[in-house]
Amino acid sequence: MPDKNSGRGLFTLTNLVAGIIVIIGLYLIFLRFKGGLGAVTNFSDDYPWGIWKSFFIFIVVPIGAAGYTTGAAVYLFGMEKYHSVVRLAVLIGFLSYCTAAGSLTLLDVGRPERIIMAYPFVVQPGTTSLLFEVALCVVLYITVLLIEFLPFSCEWLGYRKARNWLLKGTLALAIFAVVLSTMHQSTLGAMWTITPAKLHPLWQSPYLPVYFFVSSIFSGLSVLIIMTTICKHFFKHLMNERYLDEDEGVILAFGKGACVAMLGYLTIQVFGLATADKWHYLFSSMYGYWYLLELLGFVALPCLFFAMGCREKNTKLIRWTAVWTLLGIILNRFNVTLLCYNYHLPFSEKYTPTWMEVWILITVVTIVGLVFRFIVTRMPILYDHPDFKSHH
Amino acid sequence: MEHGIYTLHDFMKQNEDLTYILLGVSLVLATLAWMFLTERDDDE
Repeated sequence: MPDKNSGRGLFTLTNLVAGIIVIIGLYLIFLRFKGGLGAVTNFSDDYPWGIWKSFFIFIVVPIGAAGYTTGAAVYLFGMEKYHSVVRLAVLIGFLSYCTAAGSLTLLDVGRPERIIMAYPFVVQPGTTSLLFEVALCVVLYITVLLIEFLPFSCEWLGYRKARNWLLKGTLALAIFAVVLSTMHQSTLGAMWTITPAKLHPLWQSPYLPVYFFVSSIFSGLSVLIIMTTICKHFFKHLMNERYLDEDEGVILAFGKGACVAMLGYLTIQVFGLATADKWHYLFSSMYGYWYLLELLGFVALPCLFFAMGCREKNTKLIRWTAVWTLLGIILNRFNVTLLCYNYHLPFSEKYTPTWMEVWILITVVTIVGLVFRFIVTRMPILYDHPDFKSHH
Repeated sequence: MEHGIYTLHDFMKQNEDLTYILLGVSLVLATLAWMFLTERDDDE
């Protein structure tokens, strides 16, 4: 199928703004490599992990959960009627994990050349480290997502044989993707159990792996609702009838799934408070009110709104609630990794990112956005390729 | 009635009791939530 955006030209306002952001960002990345992390970041001994790690690992990875949640729904639970969003979900997952791994490898590690040269990941595997498990899972999962993504590229390029061969492993890959995601989504939470004295007790819990895994489910579902909405707004001309017809059903079903996952999350959060007897923290400091705001304002209320949206078949309400839910996930991950970390430190010694850190973050997000647009406008993500229609 | 907590066992026991009560409450609430969520699904 030809690119329907090709007539728009390269010099649009969006491209111009994105170009300026990227050029300045690339110069700042050059400064980071020239002068080291200290040249552009506010990292310190108290905060060796800053906004990049919080965003690119702890927020982008649950965003990428859209891939495994959709894959599990369609291939493992047999919800074939939502098949139209599988490709979009795989693309979101693939780009998210590439962003996470790429930014960590190229920006955030003090000696990135050591990872590029497969050292010490392969040469000296730290099998007792939670980070090793995350790294191994992410490497394997990116490989799985790449194999799931390649058929779209093959359809675009017309490689029929390769495409048919790659599709043979779809079910096995879906199972593998769920297993790997269960492992690393929870391990991202488990990593914070080794900071009992630094993370505020309301966020610190032996159930952190469960919190992170369950929240990744409704994060992935919400992201898919948001991205479906964005695609419908900006790329509606690319979508064929099947995609447009299934849109409402997908929103309602994923909204319902997110609602149920959020109910489970709320329940285990309350159990976490009860088993460790942390009730007295709730009203004893600002952290308590902040926790209540996060749990009630960004989990309980969106959960109720999802339920109301599904009950009333109000897709607009579900779409806005998905945005709200994603904001809650972002708030939760920032709380665990930065805001409520080192809670005993005075405010003046807390970490604040430099403008250069923020700019580089925006640069990476912009580049990913441009890549997403490039792929969606060229490859058969939102429509069935006419040459392969009989295979869908 | 006020109970003192003197040992880890007391602490665990008190929290366990509360957790079991919460478990029962959450099961009831989950059933109600599911009914609220799916009540109108059969209308179609």
